[in-house]
Amino acid sequence: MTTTTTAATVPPAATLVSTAAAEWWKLRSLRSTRWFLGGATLVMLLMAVLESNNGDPTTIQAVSVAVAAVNYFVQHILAAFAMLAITSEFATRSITVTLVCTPSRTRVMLAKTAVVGSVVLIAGMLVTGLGVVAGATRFDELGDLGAAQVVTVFKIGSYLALLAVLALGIGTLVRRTAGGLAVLLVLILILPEILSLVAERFGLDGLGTAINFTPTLAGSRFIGGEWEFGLVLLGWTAAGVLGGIWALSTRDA
Amino acid sequence: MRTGGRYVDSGTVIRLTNLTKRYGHRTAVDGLTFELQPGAVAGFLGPNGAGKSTTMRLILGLDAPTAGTALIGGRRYPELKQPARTIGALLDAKAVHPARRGRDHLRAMALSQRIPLSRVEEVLALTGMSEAARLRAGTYSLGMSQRLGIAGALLGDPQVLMLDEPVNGLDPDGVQWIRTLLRSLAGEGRTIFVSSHLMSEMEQTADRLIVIGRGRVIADEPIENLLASTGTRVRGPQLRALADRLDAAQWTGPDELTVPGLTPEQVGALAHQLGLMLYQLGPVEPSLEESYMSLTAASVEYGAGA
Repeated sequence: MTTTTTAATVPPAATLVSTAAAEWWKLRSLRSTRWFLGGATLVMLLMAVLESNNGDPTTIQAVSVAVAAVNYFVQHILAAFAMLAITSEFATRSITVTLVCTPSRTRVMLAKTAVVGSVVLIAGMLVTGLGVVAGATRFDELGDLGAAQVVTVFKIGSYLALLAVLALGIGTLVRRTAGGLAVLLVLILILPEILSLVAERFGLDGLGTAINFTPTLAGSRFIGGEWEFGLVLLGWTAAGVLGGIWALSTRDA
Repeated sequence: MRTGGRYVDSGTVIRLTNLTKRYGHRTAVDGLTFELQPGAVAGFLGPNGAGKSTTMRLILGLDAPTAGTALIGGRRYPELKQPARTIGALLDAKAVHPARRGRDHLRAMALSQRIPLSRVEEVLALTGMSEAARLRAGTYSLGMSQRLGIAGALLGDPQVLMLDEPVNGLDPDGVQWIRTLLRSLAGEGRTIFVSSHLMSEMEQTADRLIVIGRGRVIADEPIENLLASTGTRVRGPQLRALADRLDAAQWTGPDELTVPGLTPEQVGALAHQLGLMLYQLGPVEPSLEESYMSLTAASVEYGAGA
């Protein structure tokens, strides 16, 4: 009772950084991480080599092929990867171990956000950059590449990271992989299509504009150069993270 | 005494006060109140579904109680500054990602707590998992998973160890190992809280038993009390005279009487006085299993009918 703990024996308290270190270790210790990132790279390279782009000769074809690869495949692969970072914990019940180690649910969500977001940002830029270079080699455009394409690659990476964290948030809310993927696909694929059909059929211009605020279309406009749509995307991601924090904090694990 | 939520040198007490958890209309844990003291192994017993695991989840803050509190050294679990160093827990040995190697599972736990990675090797050696740690957790037997889980619980060298059914799936060597481990950890002044649905497991490990059924405490006693003699059993060729003198005596065999409430000395003296020959005379010591069955019978019966 009178024994005081000296500074030397008091171990350092855990922080957001230590939680993030654990989350990073969890990702890197799974083979599936390599499969997801390798798969995204493979699909990108296949597109760069195979996709014929009869687009407008004033744009760089390698970039439009890379954007197409992201839209059709890469974004879904990386979003699924991000979602599994949490849904796999619920599926294996190892979430209980995570929460016993780190009782602050907000910290768990923020650490996952930071790690998944960073991994997808870096992987997304590398994969896209690789695709652009591979495509440019094929289309004989290497000499045309410059700072503008570097910025585009950065924007694509940011888009992929923001979408991935949104997927992580959805996964935290839904908990199950299949259900989470269904919600994600509705949000990024089906919703814009349906809204566009309805807007066209009934001539609703307002609705037609609203479509641009769905995550994927906001992302396209952001990548296309309209920076303000980056904020729209950021809003979706923030909503996903806050929803995830809310769900983790209020529900029993 | 403020504990500061760190090392508590005087030992960390767990205190449950009216702890209650309801899921809809079902009450899983119903007003539990007890205190766990350092230096002792408290066994937590009850049939499957009695609320043992839920109680442990409430202590760890995994589930929020409907009412009441569970405090560890005066604090709720989420308020602990160093949770893994205060309380180590094993709830579900299979709650490990099957594709992750055992060592990586522990390393992630250690990293999140800023526990040196060298400690991972120590607990692996302690649990006999050093070799198996390079395999993916999905390949483990239940016994190996239990060992990995116990390694995880020991990672922070905690003041309190809380294990849910730790001997499940262990081979006899493993069972012996865990008994010795728990006794020695309690001997170091730690608080040990271990659940089981098998009374026999507790007989050789626990100092105290908390028996629950349908979410309520049925019994909370030192283990000696539950094993205390309840009467005398006597065998002999002509016990009729003895039976006539003792109202409480019951025939429990053709030549055997059981006399509740009397010691062998008392019964022996009476038999001597009556000049009776005896074959056998001794106390009735219920096995822990029998005490347990009689304690939980009511709650199990009720459970089956509900």
